[in-house]
Amino acid sequence: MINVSTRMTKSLLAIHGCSAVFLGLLLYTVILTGTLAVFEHELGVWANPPSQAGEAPLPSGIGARMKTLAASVDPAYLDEVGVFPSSDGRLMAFFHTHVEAEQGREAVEEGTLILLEPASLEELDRVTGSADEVFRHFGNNALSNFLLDLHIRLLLPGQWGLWATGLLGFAMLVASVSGFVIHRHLIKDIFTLRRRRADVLAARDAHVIAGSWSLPFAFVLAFTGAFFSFGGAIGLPMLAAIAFGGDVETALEVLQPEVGEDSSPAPLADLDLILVSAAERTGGEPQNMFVNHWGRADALVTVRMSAEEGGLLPGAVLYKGATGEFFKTQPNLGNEPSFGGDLAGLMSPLHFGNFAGTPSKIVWFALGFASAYVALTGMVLWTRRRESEPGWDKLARATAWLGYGLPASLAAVAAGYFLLIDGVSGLGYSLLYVFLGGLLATALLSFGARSAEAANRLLLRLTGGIMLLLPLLRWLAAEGPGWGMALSSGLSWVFVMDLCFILGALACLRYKRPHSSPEEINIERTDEDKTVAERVADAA
Amino acid sequence: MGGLAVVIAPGPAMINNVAVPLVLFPGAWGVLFFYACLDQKLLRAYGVVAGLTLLNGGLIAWHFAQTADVLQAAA
Amino acid sequence: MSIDVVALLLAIPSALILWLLADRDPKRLRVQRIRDRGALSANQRKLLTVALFLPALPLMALGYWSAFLIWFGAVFMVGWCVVLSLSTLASR
Repeated sequence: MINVSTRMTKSLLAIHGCSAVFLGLLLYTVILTGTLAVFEHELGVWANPPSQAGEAPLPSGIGARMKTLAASVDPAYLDEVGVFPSSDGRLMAFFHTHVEAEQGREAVEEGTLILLEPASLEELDRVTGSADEVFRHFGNNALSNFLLDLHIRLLLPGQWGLWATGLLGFAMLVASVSGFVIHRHLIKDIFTLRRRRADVLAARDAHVIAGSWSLPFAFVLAFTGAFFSFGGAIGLPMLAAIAFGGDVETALEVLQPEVGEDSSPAPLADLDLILVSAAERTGGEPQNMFVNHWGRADALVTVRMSAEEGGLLPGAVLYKGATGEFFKTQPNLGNEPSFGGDLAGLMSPLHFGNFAGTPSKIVWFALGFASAYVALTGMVLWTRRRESEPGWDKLARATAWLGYGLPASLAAVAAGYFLLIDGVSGLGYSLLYVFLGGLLATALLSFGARSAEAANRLLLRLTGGIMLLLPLLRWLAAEGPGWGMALSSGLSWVFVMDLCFILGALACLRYKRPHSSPEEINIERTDEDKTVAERVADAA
Repeated sequence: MGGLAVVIAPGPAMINNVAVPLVLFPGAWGVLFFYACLDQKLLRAYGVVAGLTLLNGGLIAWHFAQTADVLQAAA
Repeated sequence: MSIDVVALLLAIPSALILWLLADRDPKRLRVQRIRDRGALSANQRKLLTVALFLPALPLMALGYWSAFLIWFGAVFMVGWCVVLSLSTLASR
């Protein structure tokens, strides 16, 4: 039990409440989409699978294939070459160069992006242009990209989105710390959950219990999230400006390995052998590969590896491109192992939960789900407390709208994707329109319903209904593989995701709110049962 | 926060001075936020935050002045 | 078997202990008015809490931090599920 004065509790409760009411619904949006984004790759494969799964992130023979592709693109784009799996399990090869920027504008990457089947390495399509254009060109990743845009930037343009989500991460940090301090009996109450009660206590218990069990992780997710948004948007440019005196050259030198410049032509060594060697050397699995100065004597090959068994930090192995000889291993950040590099490197596995494949993703998904539940029940609790006050019905309906309308709209986006997608061609802004349409429709439903409670039920059923349709739409409208075909092509995620959506839909459709019986409402409440708000009111 | 980039040694990879304050920054702002909200004396809270801002600004200015000296000496 | 799957398996004994702790928790029994079983004593609860964390020790000792995080997260989520299921059972 944490002993704090009534005054302090009052202030903390106000902070906790304000961070929740003003930002709660947006925070819930970011947490819910983040939870789904844990399975970004699996959702990508499910939505638009390749015809056959690849044997590894970088399948054997990719090196030789890259050489034939390199011969087919503009030689200027051999400056920097990368090959990496895209969200849907296909491979992307990006041949590009940095175009000098005009005065006052940022330098842009320009090149040719080629989409490959992961098993046969057959070319599916290619497009040339700026990095922004080419990555938006293909529609195969549109669903995962939409989800990530909503999570990282709330669909806002440029830095605005990062500022917004940074602020939300900070609000979550503040809410988790203040929530921890104002909850007096964290350990004592950790197993106590009253459900058949219509009063504030049941809502409070639902919020507090989920909050208690997900507290350490909510803190970690909020901290790392704030780090990514604020760190990228303001922290890094500012610190780099101070540390290197605005000297971009020095900053880049520190981060990049030193290789003597030599622009004389030299053929590239066998990339497949380099991949085999990198795997043997580290015990990890190659995740992606980058070649700088392809075809020159100073070519450098970087192979990024998965973290070793039981480890958290991925690393990279560097090879000299012209000779194929091992150059050095490189830590996550910087040229030499360092405390700061490791610390910054830890942020990403801790936030994404992708450090150990499916087991860690399942756990992180559950933690995200619990955090979303905490955000939503917190809003519900706040509105319940003020049920008698005028105007709060609107907030209760708004909570119902985003709480259940957001999952419904996201499910509608997936349905829209299946109805609109044609192979790997782009979708432009259509998913955004579907999403906004979904939000508008669910808003009309929530504010038009008999009560906030009725709106909750209606929207939950709607979410379930759309989710139940998804496997069918995937199969019929988008001409995706059936279960037998998916399983025999190594695309088991297609089957698993279908199953998850069906089970999720059934849960939504069958969900019943626990009803309270009159005798239970009249149970005498001890002082210990009082909510923080009631205690503060008593003291005042 | 900017001042930390000056105070923390760059370390062998030359990035500790950037990476460490970058990671600490949500925490640093969080502590300041709670402090500012909970301090009973508003003036004192203003004072502490202003003092820290000045201290950071001073450290950065001192760092830039030193760098300028080194550059002048080299020229 | 990968160490990360082992971590998930190690969460099972911890989950069983959590169930026992939650089932016989004095405050829960009182609030949910369950009278057919007695509460654990303070010492018993302390002992079980220590046992709860035992499976994580080898993971930490061997430096399998990814496995430790999986175990840690899984135990917290199982804890939440246990509380939810016990309260549903009690309210029937």
